[in-house]
Amino acid sequence: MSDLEVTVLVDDQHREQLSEVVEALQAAGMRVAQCMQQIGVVAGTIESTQMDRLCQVEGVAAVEPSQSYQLEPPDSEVQ
Amino acid sequence: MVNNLNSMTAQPEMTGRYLVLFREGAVNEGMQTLTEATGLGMASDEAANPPIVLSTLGVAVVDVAPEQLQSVRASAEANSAILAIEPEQVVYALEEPDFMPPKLTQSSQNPDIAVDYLRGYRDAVNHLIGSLLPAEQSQLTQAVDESESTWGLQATRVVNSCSSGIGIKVAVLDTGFDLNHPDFVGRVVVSKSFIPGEAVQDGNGHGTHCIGTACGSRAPGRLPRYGAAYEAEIYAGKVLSDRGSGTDSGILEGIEWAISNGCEIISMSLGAPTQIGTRYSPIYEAVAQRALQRGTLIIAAAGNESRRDLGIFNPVARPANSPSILAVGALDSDLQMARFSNRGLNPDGGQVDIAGPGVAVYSSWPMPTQYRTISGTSMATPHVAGIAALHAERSGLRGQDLWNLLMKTARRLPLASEDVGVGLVQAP
Repeated sequence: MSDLEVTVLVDDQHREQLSEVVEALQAAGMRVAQCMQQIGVVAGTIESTQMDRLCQVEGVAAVEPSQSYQLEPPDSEVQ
Repeated sequence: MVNNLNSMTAQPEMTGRYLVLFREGAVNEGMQTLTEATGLGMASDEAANPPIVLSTLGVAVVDVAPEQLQSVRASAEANSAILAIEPEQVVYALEEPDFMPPKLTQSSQNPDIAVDYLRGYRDAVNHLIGSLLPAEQSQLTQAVDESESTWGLQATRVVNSCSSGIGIKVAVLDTGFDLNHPDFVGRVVVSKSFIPGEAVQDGNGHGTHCIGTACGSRAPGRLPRYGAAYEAEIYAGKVLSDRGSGTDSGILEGIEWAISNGCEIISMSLGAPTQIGTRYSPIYEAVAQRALQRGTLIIAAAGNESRRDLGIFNPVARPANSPSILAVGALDSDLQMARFSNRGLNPDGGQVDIAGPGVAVYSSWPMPTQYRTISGTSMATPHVAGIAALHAERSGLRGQDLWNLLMKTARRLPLASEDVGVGLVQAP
């Protein structure tokens, strides 16, 4: 069992009620780290086997595991 | 309603003669074919001017009636000595705009061809050859003079622009910024770190280099000039650590912060590799659409995963592969593709939208190094972002309208659109 970082997209109809969606996400097992009002995104972590539950939450348009980004080392010629 | 368009359209002016292009090394053979078919230069045909044969170019100019050429055209097969026949146009010497065409008279005994006529004639031949041969790639034979400004600012015409980006907020989401760099003294810099435990101060260098290209000074401490929008307000969001790593949540937080602050432009020289068939992220796409609606244009690097010299082409990286994020490919100073620049291999947003200077790009670097020259689509992206700020200032356009203006004003290149999109970004 491991925790997964996820980002959740809130649909246009529920962007004004972001706090209600956040409460529902928490009830579904998500530990919410950031609420982004302007773009309608919620970020946090959830037990990896529970991720699908977040898709069932009303007002959720999409759920994705957070992806990592890595630049080339600062001394490389191509960055 | 009467359509007067045809009468308004400029028609090429014809001389009544024809240009004949011969296969290489087959001028004599071609002239023979031509003479046999048309009776060219026969004594009985006093009215016509003698043919002019330009052996080196493999071209002849002939004064024959159109119907005489019909049989020649019909016999122009695959192996024929005659490659093409075109009506000769009246042309004006390109390098001399004041030149007025002389009356095209010529004595058959003593050809007295004006120099101006020959120049115009050469241009016509070049035009004919150019239209028949595959487009040759333009190669700059001379190295660009970077003593005053970088090649990137020259190629994008930033150095010729009257705009400075004043009043425009440009967010660069990267490894932060060297807040003590001497070239940015007196500039408006708003910054925030989204990396837990790390300050904005750039311990990597990448962010300082990108901010330099997008927003660097018009008169840096040491020439050359390397920055586009030299009076834009700088929003330095640290979403990548000093080790160059980050996550979606940090990047999205940076976008949220930039939109909250009313930034017109967000520059993201970052990306995660994708595969053939990878779909764009619905989250980034919705976020980018919402940003455009708020008047914020997101610009991102197409990615460096390709090795074109080895025949390896990889698709545009995430999140630049979102349809509503402007994806930027990289060019070198010969305006050829950078060998690492990714290709638009996936449909539905996976295209490259535009290209910018991305090879041997000189810009700011954290002190004490101060300046560095590096390559990458990461370097092409802030060129587009800075130039977008110039357009935003000049035109007042935002969001999708600003996107459209960048597309419209780009310089078209003889390269595949899957590599460069509409072409090289151009300053207003």
